[in-house]
Amino acid sequence: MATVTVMDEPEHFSFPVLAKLASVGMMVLGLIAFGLTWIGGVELAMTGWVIAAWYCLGFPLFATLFISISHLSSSGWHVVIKRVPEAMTRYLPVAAGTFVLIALAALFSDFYDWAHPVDHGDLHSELIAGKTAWLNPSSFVIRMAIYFGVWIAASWALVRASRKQDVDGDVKHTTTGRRVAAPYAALFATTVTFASIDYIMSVEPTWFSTMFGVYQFAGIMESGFAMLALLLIFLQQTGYLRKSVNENHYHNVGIWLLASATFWAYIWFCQFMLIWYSNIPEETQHYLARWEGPWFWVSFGLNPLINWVIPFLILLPRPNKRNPKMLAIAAFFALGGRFIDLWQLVAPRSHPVDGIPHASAGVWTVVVVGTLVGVLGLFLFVTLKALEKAPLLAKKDPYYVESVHHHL
Amino acid sequence: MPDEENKLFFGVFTDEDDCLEAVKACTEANFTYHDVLAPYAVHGLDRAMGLPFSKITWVTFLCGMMGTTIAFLGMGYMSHWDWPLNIGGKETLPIPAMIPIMFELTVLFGGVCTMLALFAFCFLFPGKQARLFHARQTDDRFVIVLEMDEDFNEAKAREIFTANHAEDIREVDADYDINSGPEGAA
Repeated sequence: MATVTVMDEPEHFSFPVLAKLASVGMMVLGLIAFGLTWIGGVELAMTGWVIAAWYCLGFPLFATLFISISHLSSSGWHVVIKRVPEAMTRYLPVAAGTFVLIALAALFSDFYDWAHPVDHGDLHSELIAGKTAWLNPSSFVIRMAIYFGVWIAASWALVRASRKQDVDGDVKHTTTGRRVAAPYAALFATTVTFASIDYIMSVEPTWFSTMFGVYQFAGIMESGFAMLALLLIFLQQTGYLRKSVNENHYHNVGIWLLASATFWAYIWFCQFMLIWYSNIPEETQHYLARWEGPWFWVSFGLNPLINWVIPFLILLPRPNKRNPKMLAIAAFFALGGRFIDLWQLVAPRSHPVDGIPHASAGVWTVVVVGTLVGVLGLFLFVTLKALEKAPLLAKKDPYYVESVHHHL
Repeated sequence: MPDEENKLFFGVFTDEDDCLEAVKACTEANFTYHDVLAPYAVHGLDRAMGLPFSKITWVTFLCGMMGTTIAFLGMGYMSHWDWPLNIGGKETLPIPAMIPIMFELTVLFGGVCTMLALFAFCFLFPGKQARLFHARQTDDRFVIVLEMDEDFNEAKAREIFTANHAEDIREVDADYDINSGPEGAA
């Protein structure tokens, strides 16, 4: 039974020089772009930084959850590709570094309205004052340390179990992984919900949505699977995993991408519809600011189109999910959509004019995409560097044979 | 192409893998299948038989779209065109409120039509008499039924079936059924 197909393909990944140069180039470009955005003031620069840092943090977070749900569902198909999410988790400590700047922004700037509230004697000030028990700089920084502590500890434990198995091939490491995965799945849900409230939702401190955590989770899953698909295609293009990863594995990743894009659309629409329906000013202010002017075309046009409609239609037919080219196109759309989603959340803050909320920033703030390019370069550099550290195939994983023979 | 006139040649197998191997050999030898019968869905059997990819997905997609359209037109007619209804001061043609129902009818029409299309394609209806080539065909036996057309090579078919441990090999009339055959009474 256990006849493992002999594969003549490189066992270890070596970071191609061209890719190294490209990711460093992205970092340099991003640094220049980030520097230039400071001309527009702290608010513009930090808008770009918050989007970029949260966007790229999504990938390692997705990776830890992907490994966890694979353990919890006793999944076998993912073993030949599991080194990629494992390498993605290595970006977490670096991501913690990128979040230091956000902590500094909360401590020393007015980027977050709640950080240093000024009492104007109006209802706006009163609402913010009522939230300072949670939204204040010192507890913001403490919470940040807790979130990253949980994420880094869990990713370290999950990857360590997998590395140890490479040495002795003992099944007990799979059990260890499963033991870590179960509590982590619950911790992940809690920490990601609170983190999304802290970093993104609190940009508009008087607005709240109880669906915000799951909304961000959906976006993280969609962009995560898109990145996983692109990294796999990149590896195959550069001559790795040519025989062990085939269209059946792409099919599974494609199913996940299709499902998570649809889940995103479902949650995105649900959040809007419930707020639209109940029509309570505290909740509608967020959407009212995006309902008028050019932001409408971004929030209600581009956002669902690029995040869901296009990837959905591309990935619906079975042959497209099995075709790396089509999968890559859908993945690029999903990654672009994630930026648009975060950009329309962070950039246009709602401020009252004559008591009516309006968006304070124009669509020209799209220039912050430059900062994202830089942080994305950092993520790719760290991930591909981490991919060199371990063999590309976990040949001693008990599910390895099942994964090689995966067939859909 | 299957022909109503042709006599049939079938082999009964006790093991899924034997059946699958025999099907692969038959496809390679260009035999015409009358059908391959298994008590459950055998993974990879459709591909081994050389069947084209199912068109049923188009039924699901188009019927789903039909559900979306019917939901939209139905709600529009009821709350806007026929008798405008004012609900909570919202527009009388409230798109966001219609989307959940449009989604539900998409799923309902897609699902039900797929099932009905499957029944139609397979010519299934309540009370239909099952055609059996072997009494345990719905239990634990696998049956490969070949058409005995002009290109049929009986020696070759017998060789493939025997090589893959066929339990029983028979040549029968086009309308063969164990219920009507000599064993039918048993």
